[in-house]
Amino acid sequence: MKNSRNISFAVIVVLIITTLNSCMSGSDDFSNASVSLHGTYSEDPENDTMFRIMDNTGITAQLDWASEEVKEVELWHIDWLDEDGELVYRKRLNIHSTDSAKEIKSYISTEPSTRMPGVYTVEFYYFREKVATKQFTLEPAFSLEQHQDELQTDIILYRGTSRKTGKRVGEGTEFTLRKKRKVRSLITIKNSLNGINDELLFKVKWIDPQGKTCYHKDFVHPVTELEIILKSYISIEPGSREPGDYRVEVYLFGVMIGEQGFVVNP
Amino acid sequence: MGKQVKSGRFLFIDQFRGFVGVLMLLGHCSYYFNSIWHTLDPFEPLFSSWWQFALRYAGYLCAPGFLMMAGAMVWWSHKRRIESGTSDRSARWHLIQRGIFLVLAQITWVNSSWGGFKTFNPAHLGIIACIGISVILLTLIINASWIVRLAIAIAILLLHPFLLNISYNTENTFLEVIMQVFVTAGKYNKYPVLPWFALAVLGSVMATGWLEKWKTDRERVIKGGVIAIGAFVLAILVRMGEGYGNISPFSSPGHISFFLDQKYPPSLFMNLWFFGAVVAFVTLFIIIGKLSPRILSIFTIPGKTPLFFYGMHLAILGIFVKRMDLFYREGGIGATLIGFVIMMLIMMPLCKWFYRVKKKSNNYLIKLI
Repeated sequence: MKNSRNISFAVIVVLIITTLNSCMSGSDDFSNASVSLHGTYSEDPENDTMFRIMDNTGITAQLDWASEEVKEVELWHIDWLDEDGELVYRKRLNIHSTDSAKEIKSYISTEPSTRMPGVYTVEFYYFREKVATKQFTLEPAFSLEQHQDELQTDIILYRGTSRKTGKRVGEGTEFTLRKKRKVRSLITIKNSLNGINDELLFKVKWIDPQGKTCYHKDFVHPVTELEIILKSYISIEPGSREPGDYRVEVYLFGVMIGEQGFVVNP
Repeated sequence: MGKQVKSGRFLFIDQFRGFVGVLMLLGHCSYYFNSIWHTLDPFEPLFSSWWQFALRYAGYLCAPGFLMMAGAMVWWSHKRRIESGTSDRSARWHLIQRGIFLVLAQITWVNSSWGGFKTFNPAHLGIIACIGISVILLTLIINASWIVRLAIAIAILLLHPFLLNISYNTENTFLEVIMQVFVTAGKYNKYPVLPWFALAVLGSVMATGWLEKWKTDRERVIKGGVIAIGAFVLAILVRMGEGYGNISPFSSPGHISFFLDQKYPPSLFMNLWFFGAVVAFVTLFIIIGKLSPRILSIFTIPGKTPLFFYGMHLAILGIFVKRMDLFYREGGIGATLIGFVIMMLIMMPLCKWFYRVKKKSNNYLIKLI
């Protein structure tokens, strides 16, 4: 009699656990869901697990998944955790069936003032249950002092290229405002960087006589490229530019690695 | 009366209260040992695994359990005092003193014990203060018939979802405190009185059945079971309605989000669901108590010394785990369970000792604990 009671008790416990377990497994299938990470300047979709701390950058995590049934409201949470498992940021999303944008994504800044290097994790929760996760590494901010000898930057400014000879014309640091006239930069970087594993993010900035950025262009190059060429130009047509002292600046991971001044005459 | 009554104490009530206390210890062991608490926000809980959900959800029974048992015991204690010749005024004053004592215990001992008495933090009310205030409020309606008390509880539960829509200026501290003491949850109080008082009143109503009107265990089991099933069905209907009485959306019936509506403060669904759960567990305890009384005996002593059990285990965990940083939030479910077993081994003899002291003592304060 006692044994049968104990067996009944055990059966009830197993039934309760099985029922709760089936509750937790849920009815939605997340086997095809995938998390993708995008850095502000990253262009390599294959490499979305390594990013670098730098000014004016961040990471967007997005879950690619579509619900098989239309729900009136979908409750999502996206957690960003640091190396110690501490919560860095949590985003709650209530996506309604009538919403035009149904992207399940969240963004965090990766600026030096807010983020430490380390291994981070982003977790997606659907109705409070974890359904997808992805880890990524945040590399320390680039230090020019550490890599001074591994980079050699050469900046040539010129007006244009001869159609006949294919050679650069108007090389120098003095230019004149004129219709359809441009100042072009040819930046050559000899690269022998050590200890950098992620793609190289360059920015070329053109600074006007007031010290403001009048144009900038971003470049992404593999770290394996030994000689990197960056090309950029600005127009110096009367009306669009003022005469004065200009500057072109080259940045790697937000740190200036070269600059060249020039004058635009009336 | 059934067999499970010893010298005016109902064993199944003591054992259920002890069970709730033990579940609370389990929840607190998780709070101190389980690394999930680095990210687990009680106001917005997310779970990485079924076991973590189960561990947290087990603790959800504690507050409704304590409030309903407090309501039941207030009603029973008042009735017994009146029957033994104490005046109504004196019987109520005794309960009011107990309520005030609970509020004081919260703002002094309990609040400080969480951090191992490192800081004194009186500007916060919690579950013990909520029980205390509910006990005091219950004295106002303690002589009302069970139907009137039931009507009051239902009216509060039905009204509370509307009160949650009141918007208030959080920069006005007075308004914020008033709202958090009675209606909503926040930094001053996670257990607003209104919805929890309603559960205490329901506890007093159930006590009228369990301890007075229903004469046999068979009657308690049948009627308790019917009420529990009725409460579950009502709760499910409210949840399936996805409107009034709900706060958080759910994925599908049966999914964890179905059972995990808001706890701080509780939605109408949560109140109905856990009212049903408490009645179901008490009914189950009556059944087990008849079939195999030994299984539940472990809960008897914590159930007879619930406040001591609560205050002491929090103090031990606060001092040794939090303040002395012994494995504080370093482990997972395994560490939680090991910590729980160790704490039970410490708490059981302590509770036995205190129960003997309390029985012999005539000290006013010890009698209140």
